[in-house]
Amino acid sequence: MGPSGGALSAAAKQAEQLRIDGNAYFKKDRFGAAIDAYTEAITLCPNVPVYWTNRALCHLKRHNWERVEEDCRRAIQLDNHSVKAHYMLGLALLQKQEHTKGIRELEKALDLGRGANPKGYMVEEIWRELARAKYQEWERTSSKRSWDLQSLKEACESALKEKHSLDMSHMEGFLDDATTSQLEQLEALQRVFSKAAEGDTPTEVPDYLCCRITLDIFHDPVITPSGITYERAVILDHLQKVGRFDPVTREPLDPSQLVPNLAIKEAVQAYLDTHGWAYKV
Amino acid sequence: MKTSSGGAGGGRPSSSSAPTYSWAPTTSVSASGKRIHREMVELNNDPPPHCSAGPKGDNLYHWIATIIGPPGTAYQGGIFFLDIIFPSDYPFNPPQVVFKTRIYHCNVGTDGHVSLGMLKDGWSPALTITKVLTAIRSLLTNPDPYNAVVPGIAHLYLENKAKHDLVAGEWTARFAK
Repeated sequence: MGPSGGALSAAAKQAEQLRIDGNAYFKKDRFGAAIDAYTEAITLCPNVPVYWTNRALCHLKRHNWERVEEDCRRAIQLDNHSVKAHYMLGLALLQKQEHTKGIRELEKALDLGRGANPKGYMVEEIWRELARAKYQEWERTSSKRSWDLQSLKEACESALKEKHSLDMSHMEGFLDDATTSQLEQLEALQRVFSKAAEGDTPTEVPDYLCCRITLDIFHDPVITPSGITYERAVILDHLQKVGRFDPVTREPLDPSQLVPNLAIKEAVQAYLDTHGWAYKV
Repeated sequence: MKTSSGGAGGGRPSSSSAPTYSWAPTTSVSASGKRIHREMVELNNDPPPHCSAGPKGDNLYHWIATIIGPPGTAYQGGIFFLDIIFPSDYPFNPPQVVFKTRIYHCNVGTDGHVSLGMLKDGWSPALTITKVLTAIRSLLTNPDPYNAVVPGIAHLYLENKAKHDLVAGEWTARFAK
């Protein structure tokens, strides 16, 4: 891949050695030394995204979020498919209270991670952070929604009651009928409003959106030849630790037979979009 | 890919750094805790008939369960207590289920261990405590004398069921009421 010239490849070799040194420092929690090593590598070969993401991770460990953001943006310019760069950029943006943008980066990282090689790369970790951010977002927006709904409901109720007493003053004789119909209307109003609040009322996630092993909503659903859908990371664990069979049907199963279940993935997304509380981890 | 994933991020969750953000590839230790917790919530919301189960104390991995003896059997009216111990890698390994109440049954060892295929080679991570308790309860209705751990009881069950039920009923009255 390197163009002609021994000088270039010598620089690349040196940069690679610096990256290895940086990794060694990182493992010993010597983040300053690791940053120096990666910085030198970047000076020699500024176009290698990994040097930028590695340095970003060091900044992340030191909670230096501005530098995390800078390095990740550079890495993304070089490689728009970097799971780590989108992930760490998302975390940095969330720290800056840029929730919408941060969430978008985490979603991008999750999507890339699902399709990455190895399959399902970092998915659980990204999911955890994304879910936390989304849940907080839901808490912020849903309390406002419930408040609005509550005041609207009270306004409707008092309007109904007012109308009722107005009717009463006009009519004489049919008092019982009028009272019953008012009670019915108030009950109907109650039903309409509790229906409207349903999406924001935490209940249980439907079973068909949950993995039979984790009992949790799907993050990265894969389907087996038996037609059963599982969480990717967990079914892979099962195949490795327990045996090569489908946990529900006990049919023989090989990891290579697992296929992403895109329909369930979309169904989960649609459900989460309208039931933000289900992000709770 | 190898080179890149071996980067700074490639660091295993090297305990020392106690990372807020590690690149641990798959399920963590807490995955078992999460799953057990979900089973607990589910059991509370929708308990199986005539059974109950839940953590014994603060330890999520140690439960206590009860099964009420099915009507029409020698165990009728008895309340049987069981201990459930979850392995740390649950649900990839089965829970250990032990009768704490003495019971006269060919599939329950003298130490209380339940001999049930589901809890051995027949285990699958898709099984839950609800399913295990349901299976044990149906074992009380239909003992499996051909896979017995107490051959004497199995023998009596096959040869003279009336006498077997009489003894089992006496044990139920003595230990489970």
